[in-house]
Amino acid sequence: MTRLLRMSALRQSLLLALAFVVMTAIAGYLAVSLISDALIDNIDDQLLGTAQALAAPSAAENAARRAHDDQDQAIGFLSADGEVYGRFSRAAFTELGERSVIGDDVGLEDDTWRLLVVEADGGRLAIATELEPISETIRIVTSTLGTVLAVTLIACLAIGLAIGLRAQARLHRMLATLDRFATGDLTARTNAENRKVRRPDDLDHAAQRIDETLDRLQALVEQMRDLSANLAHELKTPLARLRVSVEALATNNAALPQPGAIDGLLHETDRVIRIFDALLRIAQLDTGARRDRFVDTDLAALATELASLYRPVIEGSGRTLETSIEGPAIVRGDRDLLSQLIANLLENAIAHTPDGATIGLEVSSDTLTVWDNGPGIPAEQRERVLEPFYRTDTAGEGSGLGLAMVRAIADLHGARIALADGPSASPGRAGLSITVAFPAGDPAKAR
Amino acid sequence: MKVLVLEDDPELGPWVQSGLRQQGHVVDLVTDGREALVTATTQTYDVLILDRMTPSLDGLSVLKSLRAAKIMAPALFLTAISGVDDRVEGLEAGADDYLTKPFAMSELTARVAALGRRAPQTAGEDTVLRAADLELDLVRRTAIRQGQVLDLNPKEFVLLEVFLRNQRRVLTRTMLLERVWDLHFDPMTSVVETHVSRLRAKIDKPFATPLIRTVRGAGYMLDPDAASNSTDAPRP
Repeated sequence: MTRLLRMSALRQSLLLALAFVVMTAIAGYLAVSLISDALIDNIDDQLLGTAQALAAPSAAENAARRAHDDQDQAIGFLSADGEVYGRFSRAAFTELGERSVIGDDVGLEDDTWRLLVVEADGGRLAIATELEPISETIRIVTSTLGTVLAVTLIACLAIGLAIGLRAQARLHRMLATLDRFATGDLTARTNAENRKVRRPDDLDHAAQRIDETLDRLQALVEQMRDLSANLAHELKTPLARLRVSVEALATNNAALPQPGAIDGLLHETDRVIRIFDALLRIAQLDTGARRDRFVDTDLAALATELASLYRPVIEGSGRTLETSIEGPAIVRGDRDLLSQLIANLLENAIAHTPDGATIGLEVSSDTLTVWDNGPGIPAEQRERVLEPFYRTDTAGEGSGLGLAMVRAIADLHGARIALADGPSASPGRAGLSITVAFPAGDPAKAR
Repeated sequence: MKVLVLEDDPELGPWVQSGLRQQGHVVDLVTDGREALVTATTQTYDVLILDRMTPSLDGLSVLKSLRAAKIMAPALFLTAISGVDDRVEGLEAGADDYLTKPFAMSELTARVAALGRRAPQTAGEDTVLRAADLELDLVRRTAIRQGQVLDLNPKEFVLLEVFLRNQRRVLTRTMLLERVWDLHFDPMTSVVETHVSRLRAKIDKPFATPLIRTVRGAGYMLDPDAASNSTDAPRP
């Protein structure tokens, strides 16, 4: 029972039924009193009509005597000398005008009567009609209303209960889904879209939203799982190497440590630090706190600066850097982060192309592209390379976080990243082109 | 130089203190923000090194109070990695430099040395900078060594200018990246090294004595004395 009472739909239907009862009762009461008033008015009119007909001289006295036998109507006369004709007692004539009386009080049968007393020629004339027919009418009206009320009440409760149970079942499925998800079944869904309905209601929408949220949560949880596994894997190698080197130094402390060994130690330590540094930065970026400091920044000027910084490294390795920078390209952003984004894209291109490759840096109207003519990335892996620690090859000194940071920075700036084949794609050398499209800025405002 | 270090970490504080002492600095170490504020107002320091997160009063508030009290000693912030905004906030509070933890001692000593002598350096607005037989004309944008005009591109010119303004001082890769390119990140590839080696190829290689030398594990230094008495072979 308490479970039933907890159901919101049933509670609503109960409340509605209660409101309906109160409203109908008020309406019924008003209807009954209006009807009875109207009926009494009607009787009063009839009484008055009869009275006027009888009020003529001597007619009243005759009528009173004549009406003696009439059951439903009584006519009486009180002459000026105090003699009463008809069934009435003297008390009936004390008050002029119409009123409802109990029969006993005025000498009639014990029932409710409508009494009219008027001045007539030679005394007072009293005419009374039994109200029994009116009471009967009122009773019928009242009982009809009562029956309708009861039937409606039961129907209301039954419909409310039915809807409530149905909604409860759907709600229960949602809650059960959430429970299953909470206990670790990441595939739990309400499967609301399977419900064949023409017009989905709010519960369908809620279930659908739950499914969407669970989709995202599952992706996040799995990403987190991958991330921790990858992080552990990523750190295992440098830490193992560190341990070996430290152990070698510890057991070999008589001899002076090789400078190379110490450099190696520092190098591995730096690598671990760099991984944490990048992870913390990405986490920090994901909070979006830095957006408050965004200013209008010229992407073209920044790209030119980074091209000048990286050109010697790129050209020194036998690669070619081609730039096509059209400025100013004003975007709202953080200069430090945007320079990190461009640097990461360039370093990614350097790391994944063979010597002699061509790397391109292009900026035009809110869009920045870094492309190369290296081996490229198969289309099905393109989304995943933006995830932390995802690698297309197992080699490399990189932290595996460069492109993840690019994505975090792009997300923070509301920019969209698109990966495609390079501009000079050929079989076996598809190349890669990463385009970052920023939201359109205000070209009137230069930095 | 007299250096005040505000650092509450029981490992890091003494490590910084001893590292700077080895460089010949006089170092006072305090672990509490209020203590730092009192010490810095009652004594004169050449450089202040402040940690961001310290007990009783954080480093940022300490520096703001000091600057409000017109104590303008150059200040360097030590910031945590995750504090992406720390650099900007620190500079807004009146800091002159910042360093992200964890850092190499060579990086800290190089930056402290640069800070300590920054004031007199920037005071004189020389239009010609000299080191040994090298001359850099900032107005005409020309570099001449031993009477030969050196063909430098604009970035190489700025790089050389930074070296000449910081003679006999170690400049780390990140310091060069900040001062020449105004970029604040840690590149994975050896971009700065490549630029320095290109500059050396132009200003040192054709001549008998190199001016710029590599400081192991730290960075580079332009040493005019080396040009006059060193027999060090030019590096590639």
